[in-house]
Amino acid sequence: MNTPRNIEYLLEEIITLPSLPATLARIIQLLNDPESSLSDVGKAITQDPAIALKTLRLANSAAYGLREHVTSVEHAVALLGAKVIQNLVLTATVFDTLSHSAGLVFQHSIAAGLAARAVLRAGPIRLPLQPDEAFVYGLLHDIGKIILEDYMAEDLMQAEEVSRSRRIPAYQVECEVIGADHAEVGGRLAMNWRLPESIASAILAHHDLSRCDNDDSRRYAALLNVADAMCIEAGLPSYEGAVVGDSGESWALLGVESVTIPAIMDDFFASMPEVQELTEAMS
Amino acid sequence: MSTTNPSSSPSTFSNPLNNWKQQGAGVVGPVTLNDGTRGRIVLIGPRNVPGGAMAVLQDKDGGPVKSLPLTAILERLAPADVVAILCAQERQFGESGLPALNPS
Ligand SMILES: [Fe+2]
Ligand SMILES: [Fe+2]
Repeated sequence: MNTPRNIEYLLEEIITLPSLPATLARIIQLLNDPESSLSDVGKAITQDPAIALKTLRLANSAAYGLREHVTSVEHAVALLGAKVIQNLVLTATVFDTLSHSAGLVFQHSIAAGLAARAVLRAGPIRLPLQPDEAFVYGLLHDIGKIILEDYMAEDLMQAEEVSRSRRIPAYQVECEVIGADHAEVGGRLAMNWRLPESIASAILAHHDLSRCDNDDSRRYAALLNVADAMCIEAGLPSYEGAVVGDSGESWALLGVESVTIPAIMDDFFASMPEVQELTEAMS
Repeated sequence: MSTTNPSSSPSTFSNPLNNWKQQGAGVVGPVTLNDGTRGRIVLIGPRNVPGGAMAVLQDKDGGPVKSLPLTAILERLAPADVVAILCAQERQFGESGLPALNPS
């Protein structure tokens, strides 16, 4: 008899979620400690050369728009401030830990970060988020897919195949084929890593807004939902032949009207060189 | 930009814009406006060219066929459909390096 598969079963029997990397844990701790200084944060990053290098590359990329080229982490921390640095280190860590996914998911994740940023930049929007933060949300939205690629590559490919042939989005098939979808897996990882609740629930609900129990968190999920759809339409999906879901409810929740879409898309299209730049910075 | 070039398909939901078809030098796809008016979107040039995206609409009450620039009907389209149309236009005619549309 087959054991029914669900997220609990997968996390117990098949998937081992990567633990919170030490550098990121230390930085989150320092940023929450009123006694610590920005220079302590800089030192903690420097102690992990791989993360330090990626953080510097990111800080110097067009995405962060620094006017001067920074060559030390301390300098980057001073220029960008604690919150942006936390996002940068989070970004660098995620891709350092999971960087073997060099295929479509990687490119799609970066594009989704830029798409989410473009939505925020076009404002006003019903979300208390800065464009830089929105970038990180988008970047992380399919993190569960990277884990499924690691542990259940064949099942994931099968789900994507069914998605293509039945013309329905892959996440709808993942539950059938795998027992949970990539959003559940990603949401669990974000929770395990003690990332902010708004990120964890947005990842969990980015294909199914009903997984959020209030409109505030639904709006974060809606941002990821529209960013994902923008990427698929733009030809930058997470799997070949991706089928886009209905993002109508998400646009409405965000309060974005059709007349604002051209400005959002122009910003998104103009940011395409950053996909390449960031892919290189993080590889 | 040298992005990987997957053969993704545009929207399938609020509008059947997943079947863009090549027609001469242009690309054509069916569209339904919020008020139920049906028609076609005709893409013939990039975003910065006036008339690069046109809507050819048949009034619900059987009036004459009208041809309007996309910008004139934005409010009558769902946001997701505007995304789909602009992405198709950019992929077919734009210079941002997005993967090609490959209409049928
Ligand atoms: Fe997803
Ligand atoms: Fe996605």
